[in-house]
Amino acid sequence: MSSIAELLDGRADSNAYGFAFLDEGSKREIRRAVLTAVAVPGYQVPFGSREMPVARGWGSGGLQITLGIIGPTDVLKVIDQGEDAGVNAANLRRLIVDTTGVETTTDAREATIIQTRHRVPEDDLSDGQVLVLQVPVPEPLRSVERDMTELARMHGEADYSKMWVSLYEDLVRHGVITQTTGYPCLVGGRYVIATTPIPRWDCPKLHQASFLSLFGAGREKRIYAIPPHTDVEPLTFEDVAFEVERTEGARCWRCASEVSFLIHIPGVDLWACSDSDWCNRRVAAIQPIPQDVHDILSLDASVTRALRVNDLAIVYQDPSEGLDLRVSAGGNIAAALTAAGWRHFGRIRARASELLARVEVPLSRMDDPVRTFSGGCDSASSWPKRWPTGRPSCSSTNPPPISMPPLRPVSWI
Amino acid sequence: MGYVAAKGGLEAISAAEALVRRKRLVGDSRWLGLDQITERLRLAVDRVMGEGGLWAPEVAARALRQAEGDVIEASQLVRSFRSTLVRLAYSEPVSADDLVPLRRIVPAYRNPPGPQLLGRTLDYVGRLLDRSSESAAQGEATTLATQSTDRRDHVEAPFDGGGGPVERLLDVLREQGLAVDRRRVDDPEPFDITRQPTRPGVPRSARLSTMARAETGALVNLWYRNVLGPDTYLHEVTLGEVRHGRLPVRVKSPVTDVPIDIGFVRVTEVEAIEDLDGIDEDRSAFDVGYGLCMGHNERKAIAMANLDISVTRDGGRSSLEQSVLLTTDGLDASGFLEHLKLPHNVTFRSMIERKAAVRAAAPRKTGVVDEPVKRVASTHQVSEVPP
Repeated sequence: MSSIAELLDGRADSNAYGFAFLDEGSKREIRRAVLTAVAVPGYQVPFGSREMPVARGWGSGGLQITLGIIGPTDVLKVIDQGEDAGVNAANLRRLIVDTTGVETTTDAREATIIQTRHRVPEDDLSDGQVLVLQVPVPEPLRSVERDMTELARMHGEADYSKMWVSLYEDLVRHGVITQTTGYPCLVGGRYVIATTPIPRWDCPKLHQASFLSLFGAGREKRIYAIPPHTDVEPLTFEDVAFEVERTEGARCWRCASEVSFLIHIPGVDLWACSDSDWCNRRVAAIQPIPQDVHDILSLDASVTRALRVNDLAIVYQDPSEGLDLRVSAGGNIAAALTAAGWRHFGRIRARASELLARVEVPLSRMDDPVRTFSGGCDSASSWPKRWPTGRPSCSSTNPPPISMPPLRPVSWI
Repeated sequence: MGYVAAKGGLEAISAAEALVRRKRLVGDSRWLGLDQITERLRLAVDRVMGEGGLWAPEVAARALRQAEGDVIEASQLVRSFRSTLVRLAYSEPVSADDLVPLRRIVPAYRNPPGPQLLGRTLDYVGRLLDRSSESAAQGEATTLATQSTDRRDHVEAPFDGGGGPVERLLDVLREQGLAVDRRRVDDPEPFDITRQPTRPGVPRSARLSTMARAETGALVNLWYRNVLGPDTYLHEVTLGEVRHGRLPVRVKSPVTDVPIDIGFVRVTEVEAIEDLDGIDEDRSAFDVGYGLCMGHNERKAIAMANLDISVTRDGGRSSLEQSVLLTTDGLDASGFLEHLKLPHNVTFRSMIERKAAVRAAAPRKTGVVDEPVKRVASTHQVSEVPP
């Protein structure tokens, strides 16, 4: 008789799992729960949540729905906080692709299934698209009631008075409703749901939407849904407007949008679109990317070096990465000049002092090793090193380096 | 093409994964074999099987090795592997009296019916760090291996029972009419917590299975909260049975329909006797809580038995049942705790916006720092006024 270890070792590829990871029985169970959820909009359907190859609280509920409903011809988009490149989004996407082989996209309009954590894409989604939301806490009333038996009664009798009282008290004490994300909404005039936590900004997009929203809470073992063309009303008083997030004067520093959910970049005090792909497409529309674009980082090392000498410079966010700390400020510049063929000592000195003067490094320090400089000074001296020959330069960070120490502003090149 | 924008995240996680894998696989020491883990880290393997909910020592050892010794992470690996396994059959119920004991103690009596069998336990061994040199220890191992193993103190000899099962303490109490009889006459199917979510009011079998898979530390903490902490649902408990042994796994042959033993699982079993001292309880009798979990894990089974009887006695008056059912799973708690490491920029932006809204709505309420101070001062003044 074989042991389990032998059986595991004996498989052709012991890491091969079935299509969409879960066994068919489990997928059927998830689909049944989804159907019930669609039939009773907003009702939290209990289901026998499986343990997934991601930890609970990391999107295991959304992942189960996606794997339960996905087919080989689906096109998938996965986002975390609006971003396709988020590391957890990347991990979930990789898991789904590895076990299904489906095609992926970052364009919300092309996807048939969009699995998301805490955002609804800015694009108008259409009929036939499914939005799968990862839900940490499915119970909208938990802030006002902890007892599960009482919670079941409240939902059963549509008794949401405690929730209303909390909104009332909020207004009395604070003058505004302070609920931030996951704003409680009444679905189809019957059940109050927790809106994942998506920002309030996204709640109106769920109202009378063309697409289907499925909410999966793996840890708490609940699935609920908002079918297409269903009323979704944020709870608020008739004479108190429901407020979405808004900050006066905020606009995306990349695409200048004022009509999307914006997140703040502290330090540099800039705003950026939370939906990165939507923003990218707007940026591309504003400044069409020329066709002969090359990824410099993927070029051969010697080509990169040549580019650095003659054509391009990289300014590192951490100045020490681009500077030789043992060499003087002037020497750092000389390194670049000599690489570009400069051989006249006097001219090298003159050019170095000219450049250092432009970033206000005192000339008396030109011959001091950079490691003796303060943070502001070595950061400043990293700039002239990057453009001693007057070539175009680009920053290694995008958006602008937020950890740059406060120094006299060096204009962006 | 659409994948490109998402490339950064993928490259980062692939690099992190490669680093973990490399550090785990490459090392100066010898390769860590699964047999070493199952044989020499027996209790860790038992914990992973218990909390992972799958009896498979090799799988648990593999998970422990992959998780670099992290028990919760290993249990997560076992459970997610379990999610891919098709359920082929259900075993037949077996009586706990079919357990072949490797260890059995009865703290309630000096001379209980049946043996006090200490077995493989560290309970009465001084907790002294063994500082014998590696070569001396290996020499001892060689000597021991050549010695005859027929002496009882050198082998883990299952107690053969001497004909028939060992009478358990609960039976003794029942004979004396000292135990509240909560045996039910119907025979309901056990609640399957892997297929149905639990909530307060579920049958007792759901509570017992939940605790059997719970994280050991979570149960111990919940037990201790009730002894010394703010919750006080635990009372004077005496342990009736503490057993560790082999329980047969019995399935009906698909061909002949005859039940056959196809193997065994090792389990720890505990009966906890509580003195009924509540106003509306039968002061003339005891009641008993039950704990049974996979592997050798007495700490867990004792906490489980104690909490089981506490929930019964509480009768839904407090939130104890909800705590037991919903807060003791190691994967749930750890996963949710660690999810705080995920980006939260959308939610945090929304929070900051509301702070600004509150400030805008009440422009004078900006002195957040001195506000509480004022409040304390005014309370003081009020209290100094004589009634």
